[in-house]
Amino acid sequence: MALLSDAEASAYWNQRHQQESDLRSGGHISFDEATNRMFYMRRLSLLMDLVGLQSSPTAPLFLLDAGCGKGWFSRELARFGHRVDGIDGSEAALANARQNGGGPRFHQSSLSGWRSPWLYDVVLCVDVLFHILSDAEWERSVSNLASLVRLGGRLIIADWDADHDEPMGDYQVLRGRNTYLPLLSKLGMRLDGYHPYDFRRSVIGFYAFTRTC
Amino acid sequence: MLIKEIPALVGEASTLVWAGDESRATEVLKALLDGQDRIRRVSYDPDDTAMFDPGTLLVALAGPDLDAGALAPALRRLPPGGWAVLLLGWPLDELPYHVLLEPLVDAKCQVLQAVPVDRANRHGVHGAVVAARVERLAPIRPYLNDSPISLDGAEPGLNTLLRLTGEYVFGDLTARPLRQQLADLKDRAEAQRERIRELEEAVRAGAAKAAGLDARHTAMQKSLTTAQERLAQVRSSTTFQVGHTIVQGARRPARALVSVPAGLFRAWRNRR
Repeated sequence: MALLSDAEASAYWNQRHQQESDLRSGGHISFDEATNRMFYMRRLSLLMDLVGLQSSPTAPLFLLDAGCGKGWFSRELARFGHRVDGIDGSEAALANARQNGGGPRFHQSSLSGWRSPWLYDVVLCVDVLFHILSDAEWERSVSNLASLVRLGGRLIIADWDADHDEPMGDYQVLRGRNTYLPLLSKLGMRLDGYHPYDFRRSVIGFYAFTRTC
Repeated sequence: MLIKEIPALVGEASTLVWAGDESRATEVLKALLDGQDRIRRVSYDPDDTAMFDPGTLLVALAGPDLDAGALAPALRRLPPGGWAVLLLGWPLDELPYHVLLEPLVDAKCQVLQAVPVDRANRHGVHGAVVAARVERLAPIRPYLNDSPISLDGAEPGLNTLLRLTGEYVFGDLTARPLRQQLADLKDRAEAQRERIRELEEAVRAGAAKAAGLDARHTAMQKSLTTAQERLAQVRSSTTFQVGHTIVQGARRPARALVSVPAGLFRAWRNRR
């Protein structure tokens, strides 16, 4: 099956964010709203462990939610006391995110195009990278996200745990360890562990990297 | 982070030396060591120069009353691998860390982690610095978890040091314009507060002036009422009635033959 072009994929996501309910639009399209809520909560729980359980109102952590969609994770993490920047390419999703408010600052940007004068304690990218179909754009995105992590900070990205890459349908390309690890190791990131979602039959989980140099 | 979570960052320590203000020791150590009885406090003699025992945790309260000169000798007594926790009595956005860097560097101590501390209103500690005496650089601390800090592990390599110095230089560059903006905003906020104070003063002065005018108006009103009452008394007196009748009769003599006797009779009948 042929993959969507970048323009087609972008149009697909903008339309999906306009048409689908809050959680299904950015979550799992096959699950209903209630199941998606469980799915979101499961991933948030994993993120809590990876971001850490400390929060300070005077010296908060600074987080980047890359591919934030309608901003559910951004808002929840902001409720933990963290300062969150959310970026996404879909104007429709961002309009919804801004309408919901909740503390994060939302910006329209691709993952490869986000520029900041500040580094982040944590950069997280939840179920977005396997929707980037072009390998070149995927590499630019991962490299840019890694460059935004400060020394000792963490990069959290979702993909599957297999070694190889594999297209799924016409709008997903799952990429494995043999693709992520060489690139991120070269960029100064150390793999600390893989944390599977263990939700229904999902094959996805979080890779947690720490910047060591 | 809660203050009682800090000792766990430094792993195993069997004894604790308090090198801070003795008057605060009981209160702060009670909060710091809440629920821990494995750490025994030993006394600190500032005149002693012998090294502390291995496994000693040096704790000092560094705040506005800090005598940096007193902190340095205590840090110098840490043996290699010895730990220090400096509890910060300053709000973090006002932390004058230059007074801490000098004694830490002088004693060959590496700052390994600095954390904000919750509930400063209870114990006066806004943050904490965990440092250790080192003979070579300790690994860079992944700071997002609460696991004990380790001095073991490979010394940071050249790439790590290049990134560290690069982050420092670039961070400093981007912080400068923001520091300037912050200073400008603080100045503007102070100017606005001063203007608000002036306006409030003017409002208070206006209110006082209005209150003075009100009092004067009330006094004049009272005086007028008194005068009106006095006038009414005069007008109703027999003397005034007789005088008024005679004056009216003098003005109109033709009517006086009737009006004066009638008026006088009325005045006599209503006399008071």
